[in-house]
Amino acid sequence: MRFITLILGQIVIAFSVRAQIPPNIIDFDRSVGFSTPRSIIVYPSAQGTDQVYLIPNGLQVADMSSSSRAVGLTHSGITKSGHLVLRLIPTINGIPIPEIVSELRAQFPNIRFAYPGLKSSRFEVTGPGFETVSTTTTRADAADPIASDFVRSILLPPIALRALLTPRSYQLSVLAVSAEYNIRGMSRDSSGKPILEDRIFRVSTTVEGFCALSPGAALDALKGTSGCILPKYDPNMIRRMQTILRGQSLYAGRLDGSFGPATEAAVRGFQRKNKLTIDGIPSPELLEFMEPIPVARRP
Amino acid sequence: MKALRVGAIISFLCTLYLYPSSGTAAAYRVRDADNAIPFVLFRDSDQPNAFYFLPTTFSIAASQGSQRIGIQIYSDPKIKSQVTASVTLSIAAVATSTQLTAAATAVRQKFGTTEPKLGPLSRVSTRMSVFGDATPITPLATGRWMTSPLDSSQSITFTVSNVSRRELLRLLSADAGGFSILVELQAEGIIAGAASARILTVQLNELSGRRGFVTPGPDFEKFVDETIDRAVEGTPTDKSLLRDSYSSWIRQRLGPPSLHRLKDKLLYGWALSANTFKPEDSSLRVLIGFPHSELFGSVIELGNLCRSNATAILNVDDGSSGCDSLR
Repeated sequence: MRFITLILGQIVIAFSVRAQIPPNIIDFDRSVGFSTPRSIIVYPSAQGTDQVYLIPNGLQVADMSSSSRAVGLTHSGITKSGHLVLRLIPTINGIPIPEIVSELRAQFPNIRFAYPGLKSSRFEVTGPGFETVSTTTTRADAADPIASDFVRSILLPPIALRALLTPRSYQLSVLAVSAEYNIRGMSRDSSGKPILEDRIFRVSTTVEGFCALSPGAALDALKGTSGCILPKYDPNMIRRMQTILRGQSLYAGRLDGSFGPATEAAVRGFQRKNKLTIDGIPSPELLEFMEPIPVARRP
Repeated sequence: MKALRVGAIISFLCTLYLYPSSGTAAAYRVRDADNAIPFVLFRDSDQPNAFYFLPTTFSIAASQGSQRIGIQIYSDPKIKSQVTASVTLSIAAVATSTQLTAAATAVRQKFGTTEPKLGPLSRVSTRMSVFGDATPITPLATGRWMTSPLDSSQSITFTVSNVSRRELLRLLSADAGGFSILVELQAEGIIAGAASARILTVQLNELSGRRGFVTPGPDFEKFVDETIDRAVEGTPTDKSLLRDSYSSWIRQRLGPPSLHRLKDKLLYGWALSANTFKPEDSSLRVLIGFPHSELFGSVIELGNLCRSNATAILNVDDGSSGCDSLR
């Protein structure tokens, strides 16, 4: 089906209220682009001062392995709920905004870079098992959460928790998180007169599972253990891996075909040694990589 | 003085341009009958070498070589035969630097512009809706209208609840139509002409009640002509443009035509009455000129996800991948 282009625009509901334009406010109708050092768009001040405003066009989840210890997943068993704490980074073209600001400031010292004041902001998360959308609305203050990283805590339903704790989940999106910025600025009506207008800007991203790549970030608070759920793998495959890993002095346990913490650590050691993705997952593809090449197949 | 200062600052900033950005300058849509340009383009009437592009093709976003999509399948512990699928994905506009370079070349050849500058249209609102073929009219999920930068991705989750494994397998493995995402884009601030008028609902309903029924084609156009003469306040300077815009609005207001039986005869069209239009409609102003917006749409067919994104499908019950657990 091809969507038919519609022309609706000539009909405008005259809802905007003409008002006195307060100081230090963004001009929505104009925008300017910088070519160096970054190719980005900024918005000038409505007062025509030498101040320009930055609005993020992207959102990133901080790397779990390198970020603060406050970030991670705490739960009390996979059948219960858990708490996910995320550090989110507003970006412009994939670059954290503070980095862009310092680069621009160094190159254009006469321009003042600022963040638009927020009327309000909203954080939203959706994913498996969320019957209703979980939201948090923050009060309007300063430039947070535009100007810098911000941390949000999410109460996970059991299904989402289980999905995040499945080792392979780092290969797929589990949650969608978004930040909405309600910004008051200046626009112009049909006669060119300034009007105040509130616009909602939205940036979003998806959250993948991380326990296979950063096991320390997922903690079972009851057992005191960290990492993913350890699924039941094919015992024959695990026994063969244990044999190979023992042969390489990476595993010193029993050859019992059971995948436990010691076997997982040995698998990670093998992956590290061979510069593979270190996820601790004993897949058939990994076993194929581990197996020595049969004599008949050698060139 | 203030205007001079604003002008001086904007001029200074303009020297930093790699590309133009839409401002209050009038822009008009570039006609592209031969589809040589892979975007909808708007040309700035004040700066003839400045063009604003609006990508109308979207796809699942990718990062580090993998698509940003995940499908979690889980069953109801009480009714094992039924499953629920939660799909989370990000979409992004398709606007590669190669495509933009090609567009700049096409613009250069088409308009003789020596150094065309292409920039994204800055005032664009988007909304995502997800449809399944079992629910082609009611979306599975609909986002809100948002001002979204064209160069960023947008994420959404939708759920297909309590269906049989066979039905979910059919949806996930359909080559086309299983799941479709409609991306609507509303571009604002585009000038098409100059005229304005206000609709008078009382007059409009009086005319509607008198006519009772209209059919598509000349009958509808005649109705539009009559209502412009009677139901629009003011004297528009460009009546043909006003007629076009009013025709668009009234079609949207009436919805699609349907079959009606009138005096034992079946007719295809719209039934009108003395209260077809609501009082609040009179607050609508038909503006031809600034501000003006246009609505565009793009459909993403997710296709056969069992085949194309097997590793993105996770059965939460047993930890297996792909669609095998549904067979």
